[in-house]
Amino acid sequence: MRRVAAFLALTVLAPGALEGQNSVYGSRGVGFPGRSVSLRARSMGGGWALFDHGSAVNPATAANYIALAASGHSGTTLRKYTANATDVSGLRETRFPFAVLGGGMGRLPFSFAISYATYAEQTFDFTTTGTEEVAGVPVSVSDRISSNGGVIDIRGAVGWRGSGRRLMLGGAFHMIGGSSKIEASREFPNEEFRRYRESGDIVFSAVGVSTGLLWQFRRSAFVAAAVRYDGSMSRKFEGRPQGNVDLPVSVSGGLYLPLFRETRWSTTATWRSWGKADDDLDPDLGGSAFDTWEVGSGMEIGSPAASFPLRFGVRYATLPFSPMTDQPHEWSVAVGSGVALANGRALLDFTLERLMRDGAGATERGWFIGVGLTVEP
Amino acid sequence: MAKPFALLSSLVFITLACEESITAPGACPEYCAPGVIGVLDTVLMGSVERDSAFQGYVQAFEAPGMQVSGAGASVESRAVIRFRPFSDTVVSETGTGLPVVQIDSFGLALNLIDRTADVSGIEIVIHRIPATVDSSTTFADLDPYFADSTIIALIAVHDTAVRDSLRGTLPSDAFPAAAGDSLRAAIGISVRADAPAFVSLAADEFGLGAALTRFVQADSADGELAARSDVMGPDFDSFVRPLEAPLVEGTLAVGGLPSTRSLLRFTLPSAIIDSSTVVGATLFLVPVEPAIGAPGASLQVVPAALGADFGPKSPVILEAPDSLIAPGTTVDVGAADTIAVDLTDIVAQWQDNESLPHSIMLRIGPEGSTLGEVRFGSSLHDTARPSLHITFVPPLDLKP
Repeated sequence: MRRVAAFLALTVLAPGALEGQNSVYGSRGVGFPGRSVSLRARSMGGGWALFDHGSAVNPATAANYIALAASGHSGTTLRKYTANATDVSGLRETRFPFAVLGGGMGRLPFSFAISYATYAEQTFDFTTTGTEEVAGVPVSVSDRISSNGGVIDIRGAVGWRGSGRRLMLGGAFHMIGGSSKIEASREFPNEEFRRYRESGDIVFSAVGVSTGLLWQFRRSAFVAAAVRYDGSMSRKFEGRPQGNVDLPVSVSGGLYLPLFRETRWSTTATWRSWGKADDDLDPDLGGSAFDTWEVGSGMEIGSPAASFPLRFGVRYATLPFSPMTDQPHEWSVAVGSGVALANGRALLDFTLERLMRDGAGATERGWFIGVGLTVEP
Repeated sequence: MAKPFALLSSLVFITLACEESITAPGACPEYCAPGVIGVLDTVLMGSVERDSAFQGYVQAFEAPGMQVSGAGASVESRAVIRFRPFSDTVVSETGTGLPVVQIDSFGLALNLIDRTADVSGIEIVIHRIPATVDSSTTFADLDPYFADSTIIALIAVHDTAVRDSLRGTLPSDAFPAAAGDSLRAAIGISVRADAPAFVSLAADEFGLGAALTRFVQADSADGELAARSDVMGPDFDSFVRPLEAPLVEGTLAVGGLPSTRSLLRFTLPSAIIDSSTVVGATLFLVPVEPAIGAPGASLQVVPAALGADFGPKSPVILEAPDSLIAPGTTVDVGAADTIAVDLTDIVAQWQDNESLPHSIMLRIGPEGSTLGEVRFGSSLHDTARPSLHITFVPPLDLKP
């Protein structure tokens, strides 16, 4: 228990902002989509997400909470990218993208789960220099626009478990909100004009609902499905409307199979109708929104409650927003493990993920290093 | 188990302790920030209203300098100095008073603080004037005393001197009427040169006023004559010029004697002053006549924001920072070009502090020490109305 306390102390004392990871593809639309998955599921390429009560993809999995438990993870992303022949490296962010608290409801066959997840990340800091005509005279300008924050998804889910847990059903309500701190400045290197600075918060607001099921179709083998509908998200910068963005309908399906002793394989596939946000993008800035597919598959070898199981997975996803007409995509491969602490009352998970994003005239490569903690008091 | 845990804890700490580093050059236009910083530019012709000119802020005798402009200039001026009265005794080494038996001469010390550049042969001409001179004395009153017959000394100004101490010797009979004026001496100062020129002399308010030294023979206690001297500073110094033509309707002014200021009130569109960021603001003033003043002189038209708008007695707050570095706009005497006055920092103050009135006071700098005056059209003028050129950045637009 002392080690758990030490871990928590380290977590609290360490600096770092609270949001999700970011990408060169994250400046348009609602930003770069986050992943409502636990670190354990992330280690398995997201294949485990639809079956994982520690993730927030399928509300039916909330039924797996019998006792109170809480988990969350933090991660650092190291990135570099090339876009329009501009090479950028050394980018680094530390975020706290996901946390969930769940528990049973006494003797009732119901359980609850409340989670916090990054819905989309809008963190960027762009600097540009150029020339602009003011009153017919060309003037050198140096601009900087930064955004730090994103859209968060607070989910309240209730799950019902049938006899023998062969069937679980669930429903959830999502409050989508959050804000980004925007700072913009323009300097005139030749000092013809006074420096311009503006800062404020862009505030996001939307709601959504989701439902799902988990069915054990044979011993220790499950299929799962979930549907989620999110409404239109309003965006206001210092109270001024900045255009709404239609959020997608998401449809997920997955399969979980025990392969042999202490070895499990799971796959989750999700389709999202991000394409309906295309009309919401500013035509002056160009760009497109696309429907997306995300497919993740992975294995876990060893008991999840024991120390050092081996987890690995691969994931492919198309990305919803592009500054051009072609759709970017992402490949990632992940490996992870965990360690049981305090007689199994705490689990420390860690993962390493390689990110490879391409398309729309850009290439991005990155590493994600994550550490998660699950506590069952 | 302790070792793995320590390693894991270190990993956690290293992971979380990483600093942010997300600043990246935009690969525009595709991979730029979604916000658009736009610069707009507009000239507000009718933004100045309820403007007025008020005279009497600094009188010539309160000013730190005295500008003496010679013949041939658009305006001529003369300095007058009245010294504190001498005594009929001088102080001995022992502190006792020794009766003055005779005056040998006078020494006059002046301090030059400005002059017309590139004009040679400048001479300061010292005239004897009545010691009754005071703040009510006019240029016309003194004109008869600025004749060749009243000259008591000439002091040459070195052609390269800009700031200098000037000394001259006056004869013993320079002030024959002093005995009847309680031993009080007064001088008038004019200037002459190869071309129209001016000099500016430090006044007593500057801390370097003129000094008149009297060299005398005094009757010592042992019956012998002893050379002694005493010195007097001014108890009144000023400069006078012919009466100015009054301002006509539709005209504003800054400068002159006594100094005039102009109060300008602005009405600015809410979309600019409340919602945008002003990055440049220039007030354009259209002169109705060439700038008046001493030949070769330059005038500084200085804007100042007001803490409150009470009309002519409005409290002026500290000049905008850029005005402190380069106080206002320079206008050369004789010029009739449109005058551009930078108000960027003042408008920025208005945006930062909503309680400030959108008004400015224009004045000349330094006030009261110059003949210079600039007259320009007011908001009621048919063709020479002031205008405000504003460059601003509208609110950031963050489209998806």
